[in-house]
Amino acid sequence: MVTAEEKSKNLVMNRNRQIRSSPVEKMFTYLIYGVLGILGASCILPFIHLIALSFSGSDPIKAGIVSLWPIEFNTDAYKYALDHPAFMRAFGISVVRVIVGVSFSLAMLVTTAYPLSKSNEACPLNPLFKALMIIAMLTGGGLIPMYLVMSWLGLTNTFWALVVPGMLSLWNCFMVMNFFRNVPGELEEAAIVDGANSFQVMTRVYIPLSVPVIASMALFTGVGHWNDWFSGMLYMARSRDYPLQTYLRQVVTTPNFSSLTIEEMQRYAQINSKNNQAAQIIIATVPIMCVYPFLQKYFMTGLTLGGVKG
Amino acid sequence: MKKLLAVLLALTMLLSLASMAETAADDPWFGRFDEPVTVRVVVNGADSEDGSWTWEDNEWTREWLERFNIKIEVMWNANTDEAYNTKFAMAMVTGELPDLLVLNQKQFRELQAAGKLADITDYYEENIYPYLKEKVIEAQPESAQAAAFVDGRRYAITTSGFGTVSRSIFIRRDYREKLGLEIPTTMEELIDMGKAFVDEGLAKYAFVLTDKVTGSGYTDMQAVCNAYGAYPGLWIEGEDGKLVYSPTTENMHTVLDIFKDLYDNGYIQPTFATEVSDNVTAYIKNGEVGILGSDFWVATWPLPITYEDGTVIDWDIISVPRSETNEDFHVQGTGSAASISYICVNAECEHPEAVLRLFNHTCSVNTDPELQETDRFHTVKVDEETSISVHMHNPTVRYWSVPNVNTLTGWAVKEALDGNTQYLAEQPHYQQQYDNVQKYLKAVEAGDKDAIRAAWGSNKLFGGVGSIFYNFYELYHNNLFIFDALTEKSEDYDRLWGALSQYENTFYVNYICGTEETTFEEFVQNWMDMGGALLTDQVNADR
Amino acid sequence: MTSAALRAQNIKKHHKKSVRTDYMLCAMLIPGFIYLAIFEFAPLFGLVIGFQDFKLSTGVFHSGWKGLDNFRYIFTMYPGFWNIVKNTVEIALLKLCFGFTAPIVVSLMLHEVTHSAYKRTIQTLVYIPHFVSWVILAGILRSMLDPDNGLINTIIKLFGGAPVYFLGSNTTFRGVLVVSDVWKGFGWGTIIYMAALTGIDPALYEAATIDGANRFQRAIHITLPGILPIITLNLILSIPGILNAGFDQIFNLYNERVYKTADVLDTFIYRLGILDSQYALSTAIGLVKSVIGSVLLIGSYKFAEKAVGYKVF
Repeated sequence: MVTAEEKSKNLVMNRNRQIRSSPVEKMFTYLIYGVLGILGASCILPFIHLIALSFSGSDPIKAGIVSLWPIEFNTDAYKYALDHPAFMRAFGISVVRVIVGVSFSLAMLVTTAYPLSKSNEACPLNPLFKALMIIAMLTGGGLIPMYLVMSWLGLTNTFWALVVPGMLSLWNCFMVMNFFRNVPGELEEAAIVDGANSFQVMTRVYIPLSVPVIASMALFTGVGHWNDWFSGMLYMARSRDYPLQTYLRQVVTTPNFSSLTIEEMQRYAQINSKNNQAAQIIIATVPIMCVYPFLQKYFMTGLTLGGVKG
Repeated sequence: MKKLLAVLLALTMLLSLASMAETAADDPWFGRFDEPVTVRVVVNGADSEDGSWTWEDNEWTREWLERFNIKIEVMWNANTDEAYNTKFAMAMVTGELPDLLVLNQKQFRELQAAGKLADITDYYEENIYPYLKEKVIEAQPESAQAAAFVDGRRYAITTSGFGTVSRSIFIRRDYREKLGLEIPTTMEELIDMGKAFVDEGLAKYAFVLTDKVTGSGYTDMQAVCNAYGAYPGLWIEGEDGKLVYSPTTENMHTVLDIFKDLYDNGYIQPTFATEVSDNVTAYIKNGEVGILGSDFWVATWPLPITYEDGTVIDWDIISVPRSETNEDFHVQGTGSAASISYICVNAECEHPEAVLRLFNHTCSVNTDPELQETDRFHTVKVDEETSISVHMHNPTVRYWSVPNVNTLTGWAVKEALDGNTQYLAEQPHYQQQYDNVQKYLKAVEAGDKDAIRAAWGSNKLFGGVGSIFYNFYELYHNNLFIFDALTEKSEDYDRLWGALSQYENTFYVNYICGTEETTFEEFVQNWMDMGGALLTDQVNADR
Repeated sequence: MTSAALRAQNIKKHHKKSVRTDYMLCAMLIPGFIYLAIFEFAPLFGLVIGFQDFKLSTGVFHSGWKGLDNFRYIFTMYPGFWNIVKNTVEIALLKLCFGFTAPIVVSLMLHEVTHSAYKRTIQTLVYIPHFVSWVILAGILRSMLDPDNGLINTIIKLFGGAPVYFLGSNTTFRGVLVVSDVWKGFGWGTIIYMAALTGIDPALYEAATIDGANRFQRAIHITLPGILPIITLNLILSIPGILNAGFDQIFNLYNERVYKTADVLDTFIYRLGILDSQYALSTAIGLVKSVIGSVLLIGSYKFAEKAVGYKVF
């Protein structure tokens, strides 16, 4: 019997043979490689441009002659950012937020999705819970009622306001639930025979088998926390406790000049110079760029198995 | 018996001690509280970038703790206006309000009606320092003062922000002299000069405009508008005695056509009216623009940063010139009876007098000639080069001065330069600015370029005839200021104004860029249909 | 029947017989219930503001009722409201059009790439923009599109063109919105299609090749039909988003010059509710928006179930 792998190997060979045989198709191949190359480049070049800006002197930037390579190379902008307690603090707060937020979310996600993936007989609360989830996905109270609830809970003006409200993403919950359903039942049986209770089955059997979906969810939640600026503005009491993206909004947008005092104008002019801006944006983007390639291999299995129900 | 005596002695000592404490506490303006009192505030300003001070721990709060036994608790602060407004809206909804509130008219009405504001009628009489009462608060126009009362009771200390301050015209002297031109006396001449700067290759643009085409203060349309009798944002009395919104009058049409023409011919920068256009500073620095119609502070920043070989590039400064066609010329002042800011005390605050004490201190140290400590609480010199703007660290309110203090300083310094120094003692600000101007004159005498640059702005602001504030004083003296005639904002006004002014600004910008097919007449008609007509009726209701 | 299948059937039977309520599973749902109650259902009570003459003085519990007055006011009187609705739908449709087709085209192209290292590199690169926030992308776009010294305009000027102010013109701003949105999402969108493509039976290609089909024919007759169900599904599921034109993106990019073409429902609700303190009005619009969104969502999911047999829940 021919395995699928061999089959596809054969196919690739076949296709390669085919490519070699026809000049039109050869052209076509080059075209595809070229277009994809351009698209791929378009996704990275803006960042390279920004890196070039962040290392350039202010005169070439003003003249608009910096493209992909720094001119008048210097590292002042990075020194400025790294010497800057406010920036570094915002960075640190974002890091803590991601770590705490992701741990909370994953714990919640897995413990909720697991019972939902079981039959209604095993967990009679399932139909009710699913109905509530669907209603919740369809409705929303809006900003002000949400704030009132947070205030009533005493969460406003605390760090917890950044991680608690979005703790259980309902959509992600469905994804994980569907993934769990695709885990083969035999393993669970074996564990039950060994005397494991359902919580232990979850931690010993399901979680290790669901690494792709869990890793994908961790990345999504992490990126969500890292990129969110609005809840920082809404819930944090002190501007020194803002997470990085909320802090950066002040850097990348223009304030209302009419309300500024002379001192504020001067400070504004300093923190908003184009290379400082570029350097801070680069520093804020680097952590994501570092983490995601490692989790990339899980996306495909994690998302498709979870998204499409068998 | 001896024992009894000793006890008596001790008692009398205790009593006298107590009475001493009482006398301190008796001072209704600056007395010290026996028990520590906490005042909760919210701050519209970022925490310091380098952590060298905090809103809780700075020159002001240390003084208050030591002197009044008042501790400041910052409930929250915000780094942008957007963040502040969002957070304050939320605070109003949840009712988690600070002890000291700085409100606008709408917020004041809502919170007052909700019973959230303290009746401070008696506290005001008792605890506000008399000098401030007389020279600062009650020296304001009648309408601003009346706004503080509801049913005869005082709920706020109000400041109108009415100011005899307008735009000034700044002209690069070297460009003007290179072309052999005189200082213009009309707006038409000024515009021609701007075009000449560009045509002769001196500047890149005749005018530049920032993100807010009206009201930004950096470089906006207001100066040109005023020259032609249009007043952005102002309700003015028309010929029939009825109020009319000035930007909907034909004069505004004239101005817009002028700007459209300038834009079409490349005399205005293409990015005007959007956020990136804060490159304005770069335009100035690079000499790409030779004329500015700006607020006064431009003289202290960024103009002094335009220098060559250490010598500041000089700018001539004049009042906004009238247009040849404008018979009834005025410049617009700031503030309006409807845009009053209200300082209020939370109804739940246990010590309203503590809040007022902070107000007394904040304002008197910068205003009262006898109590002034501007070298401690306004600008603190660290060394020759650097100074700290301590007044920016105050977590309660920006300090208030006597109304029109800058304009009057323009007059007092001019008098002093003419030899009449007796007026300088009336306000710390007069003396302070006079000293700054003296510093400039000395630097010029010594030929010290760095010192000239440091004091250049002060001289442009207050240095006698031809300085910005003396120009304002002359306009004020000749009764040439016009103010917003709107006194009362109705509920409809609050609801509609956001959309109306957004439409207005969007129209201006698109009209100038030529991306708008609507004519000015259609704009006025649309504006009226969108609710402008209703508001016009309402503001004219009592007339 | 193979032995494995038999065993599975046995286990299933055994399983069915022994099913009984597992209280531990039920207990695990409790945190979820609490979460839903607090963060999803409690805020719903706030929606009553939309029907009230809401005043701070009286609060949610004691404000007078206005019935549908707030709604009537918005729909019939509020200046510029319908223009905002129009903007929202138009922008969302534009984004849907391009944002939907781009990943399909790119997936088909990626599928043709046989050099696996090249393929992986491209995939890694095109995912990147998805992970960058709009705050940061807005900063990058501003810097690159600056008419004076931005990269794009420097290039335009190099070729003798006049600089274009992309972010400040009503004719180009939407283009920037759509292009940047597609750019941010197209790579990420390929994932689902790439997964579907790996599921196509290689034998089909083999057979087609033997029949003399060239690459275009194979792509049209095998590859495309292979992912057609997932394309249909994706299209149906994206319909409810028609009222979401992208708050984060627009809010971080727009300015007064382009309000006319770029102001959408979400930015409007924010400005009205927060900056103008019109709590009742903004809640009313939000309510209408979520009702329409729900109807579309339920409708499209039902449709998805019928058309391609996909059950979301």
